[in-house]
Amino acid sequence: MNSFGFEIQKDNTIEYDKNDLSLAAFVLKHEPSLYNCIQCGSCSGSCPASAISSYQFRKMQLLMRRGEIKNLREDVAHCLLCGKCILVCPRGVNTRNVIRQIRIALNMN
Amino acid sequence: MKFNLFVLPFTIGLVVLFCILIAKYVRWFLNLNPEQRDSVKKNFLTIKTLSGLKEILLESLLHRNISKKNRLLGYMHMSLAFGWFLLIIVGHFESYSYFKTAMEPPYIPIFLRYFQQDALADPLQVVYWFVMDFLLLFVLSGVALAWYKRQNQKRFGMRKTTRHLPADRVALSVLWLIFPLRLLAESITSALYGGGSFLTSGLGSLLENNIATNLSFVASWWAYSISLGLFFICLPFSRYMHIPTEVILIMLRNWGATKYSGKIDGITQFEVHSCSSCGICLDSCQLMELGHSNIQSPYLFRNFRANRLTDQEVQNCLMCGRCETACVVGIKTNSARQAIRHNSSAEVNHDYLRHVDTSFNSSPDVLYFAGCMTHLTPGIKKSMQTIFKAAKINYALADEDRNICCGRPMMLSGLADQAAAMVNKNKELFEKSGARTLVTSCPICYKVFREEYNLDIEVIHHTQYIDRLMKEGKLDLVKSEEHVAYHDPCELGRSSGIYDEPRNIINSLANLNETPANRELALCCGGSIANIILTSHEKKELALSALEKIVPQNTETLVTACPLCKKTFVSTGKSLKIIDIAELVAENLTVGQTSRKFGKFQKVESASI
Ligand code: SF4
Ligand code: SF4
Ligand code: SF4
Ligand code: SF4
Repeated sequence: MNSFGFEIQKDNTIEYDKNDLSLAAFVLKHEPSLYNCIQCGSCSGSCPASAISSYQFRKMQLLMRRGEIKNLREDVAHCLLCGKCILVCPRGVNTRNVIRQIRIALNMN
Repeated sequence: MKFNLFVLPFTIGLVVLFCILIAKYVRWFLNLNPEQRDSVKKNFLTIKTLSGLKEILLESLLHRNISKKNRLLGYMHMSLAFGWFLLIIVGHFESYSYFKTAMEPPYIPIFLRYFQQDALADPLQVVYWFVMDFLLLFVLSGVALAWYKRQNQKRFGMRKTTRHLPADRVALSVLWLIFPLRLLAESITSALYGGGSFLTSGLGSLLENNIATNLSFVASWWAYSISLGLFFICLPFSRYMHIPTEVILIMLRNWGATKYSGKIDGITQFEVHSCSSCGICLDSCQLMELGHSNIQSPYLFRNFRANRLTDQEVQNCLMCGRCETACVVGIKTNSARQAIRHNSSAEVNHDYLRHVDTSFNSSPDVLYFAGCMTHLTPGIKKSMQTIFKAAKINYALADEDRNICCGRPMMLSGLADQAAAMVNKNKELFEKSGARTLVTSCPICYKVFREEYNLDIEVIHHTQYIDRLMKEGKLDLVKSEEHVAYHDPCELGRSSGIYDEPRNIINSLANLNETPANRELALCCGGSIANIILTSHEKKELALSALEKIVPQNTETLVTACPLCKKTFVSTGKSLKIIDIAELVAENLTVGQTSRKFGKFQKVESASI
């Protein structure tokens, strides 16, 4: 079969009432610029880690804000802290500090 | 034996001080890394020890560096340090001349006027009395100035002075009391028993009628001794720890034991404890403009010593190195901060880097590493490609479609160990290319390749490389009448010492207008990757304020040599042509050498964001 580089996403139900939103609240409290995110994906588009792995900043923070934090630890460990995402973000999100705050919340620092 | 109970506070303080100092210093010495210890051993019995002693005289006692900043401030520090030092030394000679033994307990020379009240037949005594009075006056003038400075720091060339912790304030008050109390005790002694010279006997005759009694005599000597003892006990827990520590740091530096390991090791401890919180570096910190006035090096070091650092204080710094240039003690503030940030237990997972293909399908002489930031300023990369082609260089792009970060941003965040995967992968890439020269456009990459990678190939920044190509006559350039300003990037200038090559290039292409904010005194663009705290708004504010100072009147163009500086300045939206030096060169290549005429770079930039 030809591979076109696309895959079919699995069905996903988000249970807002059950999900743990405290982590997102912590990160947003310490880096409120994340509220400005418009999910444009420029960050993931420029990210050297995204180019060669499944990690994407946009997706990660979106899932986190929905309380889908199962893979968060593994995801955030991919970041190289290079700072490309900050430079391309049209909304001035301090992406690196979002990453750092997630790391702090997950006791990874 | 000459003894009185009042000497106890002083003596106990002195003993406690020495015990604490020895315990601390031994621990820090043992914490020197092996490389540092080796260079101490190697250089201990050489001329370097003598030059160290000379530097101690000039800096710890005479405070030459501070005098260079401001004469009055220099005098204040010198009178306190050198004056007190001489009081102790001359006191010892005086004591020897009376008692003919060098084996007196240490309190004798300090309280000599108490133990030797009677006039002697020795004519030398009058001379000693005069000299000691003179020295006391010298020190007292320093105390008066120090007190005055707390109120009027501007007179001392400082806009800001340091805010101290309670322990420091206690130590400071005690220090200011020591010499007036000594004056009082000696004057009362002179009033009751005679002796002393212009100062103490002069004041003594004023006190004679009412104040000088047997009670005040005893009380004043007790007070003097207590103030000394208290100061000694406060010293290791306050900023005055810098007095003995700076002496050792100077020796260690002269012995060459200053290579930083990136962790908190012995040398970091010596450096951090050598900061006197003098505050001379405060005015150089651009974060002051934003109202972040508690993160500067003296506060970082002080709170590190007191074990009360906050995350904000550690992280909110541009690592621009401006305070390092300003520091009168020569403390490596950047390396110290990086050591304090060091965190070996942080968890990362960069295993995916394994999959990056590092093969080359050509065998280049020169490898060009654009770096993350240059990928976001493609005009610079294109200009470099134009230049390579014009000079007919056999080159290859290292990170065109396999962009791995150099690792320095992570190191600057304190995760130096965790950057290893990036370092190893990039090294593999460089080795496989077979190139002999590695050119980078980004000063951040340049610094880390040179200092952390231990590469066998030559690492060179594009300013140096272009300068070399021009000297070899490989580029055919025309000079324009344009007036340009040049911004020294922190990582290229202060951090790597590259100031002349960019200027050589610019001078042969345009008219360079310099400002005082250049070379070592250059400003940070505000975009520094070392600061993870600043908001985008604050960064812009810093950039705008820096632009005000680095672009003189009638200058249409600002040239820089760092993609991050360029990006930061461009995103302020200021109407000014902001280009990288590579773009300036590509723009001025003769038509024969380039197929493409570069024009409005700002347009190219904004279109590519
Ligand atoms: S800092 Fe992290 S998330 Fe941002 S571009 Fe670099 S690797 Fe990607
Ligand atoms: S670039 Fe900025 S605004 Fe766009 S998705 Fe990323 S964080 Fe959000
Ligand atoms: S390195 Fe720069 S930003 Fe940091 S404290 Fe020193 S002057 Fe301020
Ligand atoms: S870092 Fe240097 S200049 Fe700044 S307060 Fe400390 S000793 Fe003074």
